[in-house]
Amino acid sequence: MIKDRSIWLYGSHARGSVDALSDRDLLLVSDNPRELGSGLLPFSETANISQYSWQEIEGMARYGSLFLHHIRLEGMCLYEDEAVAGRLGEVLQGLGRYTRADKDLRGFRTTLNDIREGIDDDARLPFELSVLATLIRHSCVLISYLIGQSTFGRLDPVRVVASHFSLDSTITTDFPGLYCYRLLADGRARECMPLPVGLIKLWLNRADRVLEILEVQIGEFERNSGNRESNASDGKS
Amino acid sequence: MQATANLDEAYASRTRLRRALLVCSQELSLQLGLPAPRFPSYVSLPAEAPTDIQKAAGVCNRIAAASHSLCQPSEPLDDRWRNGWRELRDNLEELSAAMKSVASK
Repeated sequence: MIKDRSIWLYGSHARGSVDALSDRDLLLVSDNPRELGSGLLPFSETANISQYSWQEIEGMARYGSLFLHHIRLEGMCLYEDEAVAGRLGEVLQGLGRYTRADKDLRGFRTTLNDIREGIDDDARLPFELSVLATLIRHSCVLISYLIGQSTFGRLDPVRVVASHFSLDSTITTDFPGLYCYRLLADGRARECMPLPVGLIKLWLNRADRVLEILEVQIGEFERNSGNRESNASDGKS
Repeated sequence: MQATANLDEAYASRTRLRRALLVCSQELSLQLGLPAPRFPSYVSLPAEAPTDIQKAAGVCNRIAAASHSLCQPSEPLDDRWRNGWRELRDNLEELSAAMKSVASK
């Protein structure tokens, strides 16, 4: 069996913005994921590990994976087997623009509809709030990329979007209270303040607004990318 | 099961799968008078729980284990979802039958 592990650290530990709620985000690329248990990662028990095969990574690179953009922006290589030394770095160097934003928007819309259907059920409320928080953060991560201000932190993407689009600043100050439910779901928080019904409705409306912004930004990004490609081909001819 | 079957929407499907696991684990806990979990998690039942509930919990836990790989924390992968779905579908059918059996008592 060829040793083909590439292990990268990303997220708050790589950014140097660790707090009490931070987990350790690790990317493991290998066609032999069982290699993980080899003792190479003494902290693997407490880490949030994303595992991909090399084929998956190369497939992701073809559509300009936002996750790979994340790794390119702030990832740190912890270990590479000799057979794959530099391989992920090369993939990241050649990474093109993200091309699946439209598809993401559809997924976010479907998920937001699902949340609306389940949020009145008290038994499901904490879960639905955790999904809503995640959806808003993911949407803002994508918007931050589309406007050229990529950021992948826990709260920062919402702050960037609120500031760039002059949204009511309470969206930024309220967001930690909503995101607490995501941390609760992950076992990183013990309890969250209950959200009043009015605030939950407000968050659903804010999610709608964020998705509207996302839709507009996808259109602008596609137009600008098309123009750049057209100018580049004009320059060549 | 249909709610998780959209093979081209991994983002929505993985959330639906987790929601289905939550509902199942809450229902099983309710049947035994145990506190209902707030989030999807492995179902842990007392050894004296009835066989049909144990069986449903076992399937539920199998699906939760499979979903760990399918529902990557970083990026939803349609290809992985599409490939993993075949295996998952059999487990979901089994879970559906097991839950019907539990609910009918």
